[in-house]
Amino acid sequence: MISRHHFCVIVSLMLTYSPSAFSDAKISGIVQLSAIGADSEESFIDGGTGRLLYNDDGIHLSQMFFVFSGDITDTLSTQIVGNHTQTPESRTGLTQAFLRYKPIPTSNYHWEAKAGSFYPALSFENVDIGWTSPFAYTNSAINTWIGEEIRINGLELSLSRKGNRRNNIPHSFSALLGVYKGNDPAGTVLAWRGFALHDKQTQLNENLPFANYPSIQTPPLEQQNDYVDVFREEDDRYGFYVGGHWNYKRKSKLRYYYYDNQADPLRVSSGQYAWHTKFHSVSWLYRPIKNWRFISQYLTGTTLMGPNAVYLGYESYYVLASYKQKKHRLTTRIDRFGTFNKNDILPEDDNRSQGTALTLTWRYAIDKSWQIGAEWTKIESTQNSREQFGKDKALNQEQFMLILQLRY
Amino acid sequence: MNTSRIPLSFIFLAITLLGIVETTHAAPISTSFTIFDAENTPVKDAVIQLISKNPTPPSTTRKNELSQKDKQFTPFVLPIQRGTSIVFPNYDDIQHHVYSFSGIKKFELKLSKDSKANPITFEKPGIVPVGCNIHDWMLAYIYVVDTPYFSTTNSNGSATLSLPSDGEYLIKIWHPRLPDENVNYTKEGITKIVAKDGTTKVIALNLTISTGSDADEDIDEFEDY
Repeated sequence: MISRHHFCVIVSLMLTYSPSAFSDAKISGIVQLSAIGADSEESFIDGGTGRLLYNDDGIHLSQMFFVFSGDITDTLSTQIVGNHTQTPESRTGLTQAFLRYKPIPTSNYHWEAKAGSFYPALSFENVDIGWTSPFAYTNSAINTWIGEEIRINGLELSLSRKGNRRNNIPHSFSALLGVYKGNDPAGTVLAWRGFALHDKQTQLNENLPFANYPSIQTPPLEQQNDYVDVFREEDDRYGFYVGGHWNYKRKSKLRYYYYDNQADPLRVSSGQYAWHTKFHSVSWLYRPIKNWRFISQYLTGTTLMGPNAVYLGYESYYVLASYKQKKHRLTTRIDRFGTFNKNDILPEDDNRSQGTALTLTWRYAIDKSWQIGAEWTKIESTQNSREQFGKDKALNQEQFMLILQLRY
Repeated sequence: MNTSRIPLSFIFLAITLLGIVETTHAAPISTSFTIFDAENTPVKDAVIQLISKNPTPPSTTRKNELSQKDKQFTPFVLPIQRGTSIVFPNYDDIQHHVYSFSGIKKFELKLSKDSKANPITFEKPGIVPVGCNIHDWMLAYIYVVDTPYFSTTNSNGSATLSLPSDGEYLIKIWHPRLPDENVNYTKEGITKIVAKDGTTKVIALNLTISTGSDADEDIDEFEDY
């Protein structure tokens, strides 16, 4: 574990030494303070069952990361994202680190390769630097989960056919294939806690905590820890994903992905099961006129652990509308999410949940470096696993944030 | 004999008259065009070229610049005369990797901020689509023409050309959205014009050059993963 002091040292070392090794090396990043009017429900990050990240009022360092990008050759570049978190405790690590090879096209077909640790480009929400969202401060339920439990440690190849105005082809297409190791415990957190809403991205060697539910303290689930070491490899099997992008000019963009980690659900070691997790994701971006954009994403999948011990279905979608007027950006998003049991052998371990969330965000860019904003989030949900603690399964939460953001 | 005087004065007169006629014919003129599409919308970024039987040699003083600013090429359509060159200044804070895989001219230039890339000379006439390997949406067209008389239309669909003299010229019109550069898309099948100083000729195309809404072609401020 690295302290904040070490984070600064790493950044300054990269700044000092990078120009000699890379051409066009650049460091950028965000430091963000949030004054939070928190919901009192104890957060999952502290071992509670709340879906939000904070449960005490006050000023929190909500984001602090750097993005290092540099060119090794004209067509080979690297990107490293280092992140400091204070939830649940002070810790610094990497969230992404990859190489990208993008040869100069020799026809209207372009191909590209990516290798390392990165996110598959599922959505149109997390398109700002360091996989943050430029719209709401709190990610959608879907992308909160992607930031928590999905990361590719492997290789992605993509082939694109660009549209062009010359031939009156306004459509561009890409096909993508990813192969990876690790990510075997993905799905764990959805089983008990369900979907959440926050902006924390799990570092590559970080454990993501959740409540120590009584059902995982007793057989047959007693081998499961109350945290997930999400990027570990359990079974030496390769996972894969396939994706397709379809862009109509820059006005309408559609993406479909199918992800399958092909994990062997009978494998367990060090308190971590392999969860066979697969899902479909469809995202759509629509920009009818310049100042408006609409983003929607639908994700549905299953995860299976043990000999049918936990067999969970999950589903979520969101609809986001964002309006920009000069330095102001207003965003509203509605999330729906749910998890359901799929005839597993442990009906007493009830993993059902459902919920709706509304997020309203205002952002104001003072200049290129400074931004202020405010956000209100309301969640109405149920989570049956809360009954294991004698709590009501209903879980309604509300959060208000004032934000000061520095971009460098 | 008087006969020797008559031809002499005649010659003087002839020279004087010729001089007048010659200056009338050889005076540089300025003539304008306005192009509309099939929906009567002014066509921007169309290239008009006029071809004369007696063209002047390429102008070496003309500065051809295809710049990069705010992750866009400017201009979107750059006509140049065959044998001339283009410089590619980068006015952004970030790097661009400008390339063309066109058979007319293949090149690639990695351009840092304020970098001075050597000019590139275009010897073959034709269309050269230009892209950026870092910012896939960036697109521009270099149109290498075989005449010194050409211009691009502005947002009103208008262009003004300076010509060495009035008279008959062959005319060719090209736009990135016209499917085939060898097809005449003018409504009346215009191939020739008689250029006169200070006149404006209105030309209608038989195709729609849809410009769409603002969001169609503007830059999305957010990049990808």
